[in-house]
Amino acid sequence: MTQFRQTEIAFFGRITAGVTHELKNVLAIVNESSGLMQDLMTLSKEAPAYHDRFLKALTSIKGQVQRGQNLIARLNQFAHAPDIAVRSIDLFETAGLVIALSQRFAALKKVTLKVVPPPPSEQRAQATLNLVQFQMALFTAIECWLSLAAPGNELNLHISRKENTCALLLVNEGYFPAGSDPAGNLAAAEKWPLLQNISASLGGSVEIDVPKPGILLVLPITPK
Amino acid sequence: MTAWKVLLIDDEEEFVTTLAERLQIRGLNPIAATDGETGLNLTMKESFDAIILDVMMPGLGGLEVLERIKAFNSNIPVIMLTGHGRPEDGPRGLQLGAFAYLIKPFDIDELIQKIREAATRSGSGNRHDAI
Repeated sequence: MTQFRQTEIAFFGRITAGVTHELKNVLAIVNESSGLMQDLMTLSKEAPAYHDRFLKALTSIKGQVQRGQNLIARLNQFAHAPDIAVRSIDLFETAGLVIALSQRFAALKKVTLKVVPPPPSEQRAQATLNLVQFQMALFTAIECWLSLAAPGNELNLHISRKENTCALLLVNEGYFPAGSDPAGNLAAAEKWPLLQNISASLGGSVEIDVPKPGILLVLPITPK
Repeated sequence: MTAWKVLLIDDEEEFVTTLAERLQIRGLNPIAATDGETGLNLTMKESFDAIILDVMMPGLGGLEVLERIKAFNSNIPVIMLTGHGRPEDGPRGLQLGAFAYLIKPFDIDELIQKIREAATRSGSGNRHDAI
């Protein structure tokens, strides 16, 4: 990645991070205002006719504030990715963030997306790599699968480490009709060449794991 | 029984006035300031059981206000409020002597608990039993 390209991405990240901070303040005001309404309703001795309805609506507002807070926290974390180009990351934590940010795209296709919980021995799997490129590789792999997936399919991400590499296997656990060729279709997916380029840029490789079928990304845990 | 006197410093006026009203309902005595300079001046003129301080403010920022408060009176417990703008701000505040930090938006009961702990540690915890 060129220095200028890196600067462009960092600029995008800074602006996004700034906006997420402002959104936090918006949520904080909504949170306090709805909280105050709830306080006043609770204190009211006159028991207004709409008391229960008001409290229900306020509970809904509180729930949405929490939802917004989670989304903003993820977006902010994502926006800070370009702050340091190459860094040590927790593979499961980072993959979890990408999966969470991709849920909307999966939901539009009615596909379930999740990270398979790591075995206790691998819970702190670390790698030093370009975070933006890593996130992009994982998202592109998800996009490749989503372009082929049928409603009800389940995409599971398995992460493992082997000596100096980490392997990310994105498997479609769904049913494939007899005679279909999911592996061949994956290789023909529009984003497949992009995924190959990003993997190469990370010093790794990508291939189709035929028996599963799945997309297998193998990346070095330290920069080459 | 004297209510805990709490100074709230945050540039979001709507946030700080609403939070003050909610704390008042719970029996505290909140004073609101909408910029760092005003908050700092109030700290030097009056005594507070705890200070609730936003990190990101135009002009005098929260971390700078914290440093000045601590240089003036290291015993006043300060609870920092952060967004997710810079995740390192909360821990940085603790390094500079803040009692705790909360991420916006937070639950008011969580804030009250922090105020209670802060006031107890600073020796004013027994002055108030309304909350």
